[in-house]
Amino acid sequence: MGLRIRIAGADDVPAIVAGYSRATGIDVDSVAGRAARGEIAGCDVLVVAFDPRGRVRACLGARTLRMRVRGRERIFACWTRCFIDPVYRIGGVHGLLTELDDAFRHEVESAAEIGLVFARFEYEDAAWFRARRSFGSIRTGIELRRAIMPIEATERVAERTGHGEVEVVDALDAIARDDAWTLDLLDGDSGRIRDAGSLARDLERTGETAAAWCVLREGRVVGLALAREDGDGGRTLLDWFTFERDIAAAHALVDAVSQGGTLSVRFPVWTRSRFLLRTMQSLGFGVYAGSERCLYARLSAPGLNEQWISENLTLTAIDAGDEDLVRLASREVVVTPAPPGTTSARSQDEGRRAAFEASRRKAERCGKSSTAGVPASANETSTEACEAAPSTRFEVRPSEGESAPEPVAARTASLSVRTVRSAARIAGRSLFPITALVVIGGTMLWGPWVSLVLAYSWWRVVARVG
Amino acid sequence: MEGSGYSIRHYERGDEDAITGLINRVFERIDASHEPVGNDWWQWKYLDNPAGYHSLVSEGPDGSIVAHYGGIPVRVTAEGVDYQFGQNCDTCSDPAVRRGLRNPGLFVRLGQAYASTFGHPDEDAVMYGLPSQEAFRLGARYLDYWMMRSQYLLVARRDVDFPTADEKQDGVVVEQVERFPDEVDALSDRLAADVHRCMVRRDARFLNWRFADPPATPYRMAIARDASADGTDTAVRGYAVVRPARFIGRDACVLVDWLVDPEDDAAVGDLLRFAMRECWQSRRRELFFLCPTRSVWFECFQAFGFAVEATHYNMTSRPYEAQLDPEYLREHWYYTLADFDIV
Repeated sequence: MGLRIRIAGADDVPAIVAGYSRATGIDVDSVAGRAARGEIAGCDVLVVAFDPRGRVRACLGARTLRMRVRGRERIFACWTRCFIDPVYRIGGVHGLLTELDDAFRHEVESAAEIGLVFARFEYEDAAWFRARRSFGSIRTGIELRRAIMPIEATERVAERTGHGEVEVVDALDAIARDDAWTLDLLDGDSGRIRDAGSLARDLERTGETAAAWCVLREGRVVGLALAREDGDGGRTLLDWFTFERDIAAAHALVDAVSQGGTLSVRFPVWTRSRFLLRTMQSLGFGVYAGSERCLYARLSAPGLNEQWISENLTLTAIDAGDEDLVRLASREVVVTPAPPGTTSARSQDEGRRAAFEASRRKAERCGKSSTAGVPASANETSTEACEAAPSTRFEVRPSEGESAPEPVAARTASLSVRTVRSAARIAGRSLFPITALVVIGGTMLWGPWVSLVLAYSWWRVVARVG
Repeated sequence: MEGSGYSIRHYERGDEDAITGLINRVFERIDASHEPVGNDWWQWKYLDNPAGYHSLVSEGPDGSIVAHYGGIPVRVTAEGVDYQFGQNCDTCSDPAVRRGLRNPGLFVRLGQAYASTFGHPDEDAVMYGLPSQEAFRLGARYLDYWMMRSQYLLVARRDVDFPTADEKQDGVVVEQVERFPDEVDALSDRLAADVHRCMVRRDARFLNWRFADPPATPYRMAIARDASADGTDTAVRGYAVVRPARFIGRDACVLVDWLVDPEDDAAVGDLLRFAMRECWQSRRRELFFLCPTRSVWFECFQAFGFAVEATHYNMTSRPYEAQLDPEYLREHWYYTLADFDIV
């Protein structure tokens, strides 16, 4: 009687929302609960763990992002609204989080050729998971904040920036005028592809208080902003785009976002863009630490690395997730362990042994044999802990034919492709030494250029099959 | 490093020629503005540091020093408890030994040995540094670097709105000094208790070693004191240290260290005026200041007219003491460029 992990379909959303509520204590009818429901329903893929009674105990939700990286289109994903029921939150490599991630990697990430997965873990949460699962830190975020400026100050900026040449319209109007517009002509040839379709989806997902504006110049969309009302009279900018050096468009957007009785605007962002920082500060924004959350990413596409992402991409809440993920693992000490054999390491080991013994005794009190042998989370209720403690055997099952949303799930449904890929992967990897010999021999026989072509071709094959 | 012919050992007297030669060789290749260092620099930075020093070297098969991993310990007060933090610095390996496909290479092995040797609650409770993105990538992969934050910089050009003090706070005198007086200890202790809950002990011993003693010191230091009618020494209310330098690829005047009570508008205003004056006198167009994004000064300096710019640095820490977890350090650790050796 273990947990069953599979990719969820649209029918599972109510059960997932109920599971989210159980795991986080957030009332589904509250504002936060409604926002969570919207985001869960808006996920492109949901990997879910069901208990034997059919209740959702854990979920990894992900949205996909169409990106252009050095001119080439790629799919990125962002984990959002992930949760694990407190009684199943355990640390280490045998945790439920690891099992869900295994399923996500095999059923979604490799099948859909997702080049990168973003996640906003709590700083200390799942430290070892991050390290083991190749999540590297990209950069920490900042928050740009602006109290509403007096009108005369705004007008002064407008005179300086030539604000009059652009027109700001509601995003829905822009879509109505031209539903084929796209903002993928990025200055640095890299960034998220924003178009009418993605904007409409983002608007729907971010809830009823969300609003979006587009800037038009000579009838063409040259900028957009998406914001949500905070409930305290302020707005949070969830997405933002203007072309580099287009300060007029930036100013027009800030004006639009600030209107309608808005008291303040906050903009969480992960950026190194000099233009963005300078423009926003010239428009009255201050720079604050905010939650200073670190953005992590797992990269699998060739040619990408954390440094490149950090330096070249400006990421907004739409890219990186609207909120931090809730706690997914039991609290683990993230302080790097002392070197083995030292006095300090021995005392830490004793501490760990004591915690382990305590957890084992607790499991025995519940009348269960704790096969996992890992302490459950500190905030669990004792009844639930006893009820759920033995169910730490996980079983991953393929999708049961649900119609999962495009674009990811449609690709993951193809089991035959996966089988072929696995076979090709084994063959590809075992042929590596032979290929190396061919390349070396080729260099001597035909010259380096032929070898380079051979090596590149083989690299493409290996990249294709994973 | 069994079987490889290379060995790792502690620094020994007499190694300084080889180490400084290696540092000059390596850093001249990657940084055209690198100023050659010599034995006097080694003596000051490592041997004269009041908190001691850490230095591991790797010897090649012929006995020559081919890699160095150094550390500058500092005394830190966190929540009233004294700890030692260590800044990892002057880390390099001879390009000649970097060839080959050995993974991890000699440099990483040396870094791991360094962490095993000095990473301990009774030695370096926290190791830290401001590595570039490139070095961070390597460190995160092999040496367990933790990104504390992406580091931002405060930049003032011409117009700075100096804070105005009320009458009660007035009566401050700013004087330029060659060395820090012992009265600065009381200021450091008071602000460590009231404002900056985790901070390097900025006592006279540390400050004089850091700013007054380096060979050919480029630093200009000023302290703010209560004005006394009879000219006798009075309590130190704050200090500032500036120097012209090349930082993030630009020639600027850098406010290297800054310690003053944020409530003391008179001292803040006068010390800031001193910094701006030094900036103009050194014919630099920009004044830089680096501090944590969470620090009270990050917001205050923006109110004074400083703009925020991103840098390519990541503030990196690696705690070995459970009390000093990364979230705590991120929230409460006050640091400036005085805590690093890059300026």
